[in-house]
Amino acid sequence: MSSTPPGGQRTLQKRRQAQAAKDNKAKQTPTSTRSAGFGGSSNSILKIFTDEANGLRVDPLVVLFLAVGFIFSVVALHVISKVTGRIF
Amino acid sequence: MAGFRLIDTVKPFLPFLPEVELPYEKLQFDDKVLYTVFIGLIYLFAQLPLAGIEKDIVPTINDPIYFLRGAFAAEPRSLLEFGIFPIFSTGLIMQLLAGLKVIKVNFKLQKDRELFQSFTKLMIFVQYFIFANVFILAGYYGTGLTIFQIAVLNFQLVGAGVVATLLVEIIDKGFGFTSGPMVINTIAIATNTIADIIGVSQIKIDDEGHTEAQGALINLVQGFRAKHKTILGSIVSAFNRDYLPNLTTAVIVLIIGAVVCYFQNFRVELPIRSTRARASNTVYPVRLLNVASLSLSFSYSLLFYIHMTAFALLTLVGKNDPSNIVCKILGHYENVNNILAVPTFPLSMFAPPRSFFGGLVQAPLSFVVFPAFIIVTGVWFAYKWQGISGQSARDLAVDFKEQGLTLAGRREQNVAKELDKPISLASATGAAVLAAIAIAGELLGLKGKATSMVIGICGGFSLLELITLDYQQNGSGSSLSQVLGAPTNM
Repeated sequence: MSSTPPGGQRTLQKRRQAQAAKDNKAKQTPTSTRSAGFGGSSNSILKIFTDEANGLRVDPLVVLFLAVGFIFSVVALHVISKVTGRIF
Repeated sequence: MAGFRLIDTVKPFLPFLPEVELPYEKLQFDDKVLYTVFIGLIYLFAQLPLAGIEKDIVPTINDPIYFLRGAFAAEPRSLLEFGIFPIFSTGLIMQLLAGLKVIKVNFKLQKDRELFQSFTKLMIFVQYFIFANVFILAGYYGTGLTIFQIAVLNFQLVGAGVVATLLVEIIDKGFGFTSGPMVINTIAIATNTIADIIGVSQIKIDDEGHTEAQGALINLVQGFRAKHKTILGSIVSAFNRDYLPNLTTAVIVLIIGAVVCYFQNFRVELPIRSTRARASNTVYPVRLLNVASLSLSFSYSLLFYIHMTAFALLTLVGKNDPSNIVCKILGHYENVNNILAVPTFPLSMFAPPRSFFGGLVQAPLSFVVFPAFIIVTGVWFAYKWQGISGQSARDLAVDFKEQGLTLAGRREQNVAKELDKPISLASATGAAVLAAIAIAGELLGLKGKATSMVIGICGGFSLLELITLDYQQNGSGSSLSQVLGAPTNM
């Protein structure tokens, strides 16, 4: 049993420490989008794109068509290089 | 400037960065299946060979990253030369750095999250550009390329990178299932594994025009009919050919897959009880493979960066000339089978040996350094990642409190501390187990197939878990319920 009387310096110090710990906790920013509560990567899943940022907005279907278009453009390059013998 | 933050540097580029729109409402289960399947197909079709390089070129340098390709769905000399590596590694490393507070981001603010995401995307594009040009300048696509050829190669490699990034983004944003990089990785790994075993495509193997099947099993069957080989010779060759997948590696890969499946079920079950109702005791499972494939992906990301940097230094500065000072320090590349560029000591310490016995004699140190590197980085990552990913013990304790749950036989204030012990231990041990399985396969000379199998199976399980959950919640109107069975919602 401790024999120190209650109150005094030590109680003040304890209170200050508790307050500091509380402040520290409040100041901490979340470590990931999920811990901030907005989805994103979890412990076994990597997610990179979860928010809609500013930028050149495109529709997903447009992206799919462009991707297919890109593949066809490379196929076209193959055909051109086949026909002309070598590419330029 | 006091308030300088790295993510603010992306602001001038924002108008040029393509950004996929979020869906207006939650998509139906069937729509998600469609999107995911189509994106997977587009990715697989994009693995077509590059146009603009001559067929019979003799490159000055061969493939230096052959053992890293499997883990990132990269196909040599195709549009997807680097696969989804820049996407995966940048995503992982940026989020890790942000979680460790190296990069200052406040994830509570919408603006900050958007900037962080755009910054990641910009970094991905930049890396595709840098890697493509390192390969071009190193002579991987042949020497004496004209300016026009370089431009065409850049268009294809960087364009494919941008397309891959956007495909990943579509899945990530909720049009497909869960996570884009992991879905694409799993699809590509599954396809490659099947192609290695029963692929029927015929590949020219010598100058006389003989062909052999890509699939190991098909090759064995075809060997019986081949006119230019004896039956015994073809059987032996089916088991030990090293220019294409052979049956030995196929069997080892399948065994590795089975072992990983076996470890999926390892878990610690913590008894929990409700604080509101009496006598409702259940368990909370903590899985051994808590961080699953991400730890191995992280180790391989680091390896990829090491090898890309070394490759750039050795070929661009050192010209791959053993007498050059850079090559004396780092080692150089040796041409093997006309497909691979194998690093020599000391760079070889960070690469798995090409065969078990050959490796033991020629590069004994890679049997020590390579496994140590994979295990140490994997365990370190798993330990850190479980703390920052938003499902750490502290976050779980908050969830528990909201749902009125607590650990049986423990003080309620200490839930976070008590949860932290098994979770961080399981994450670190699980990462070590996965690394050990992958290393065991790699040291036998699988050239990256073992790792890709571990990543594929683990990633597949992580995805399956969430897809099943999605199906139970939203699958009631699905036209696939005939095949998948009626969704049982608890």
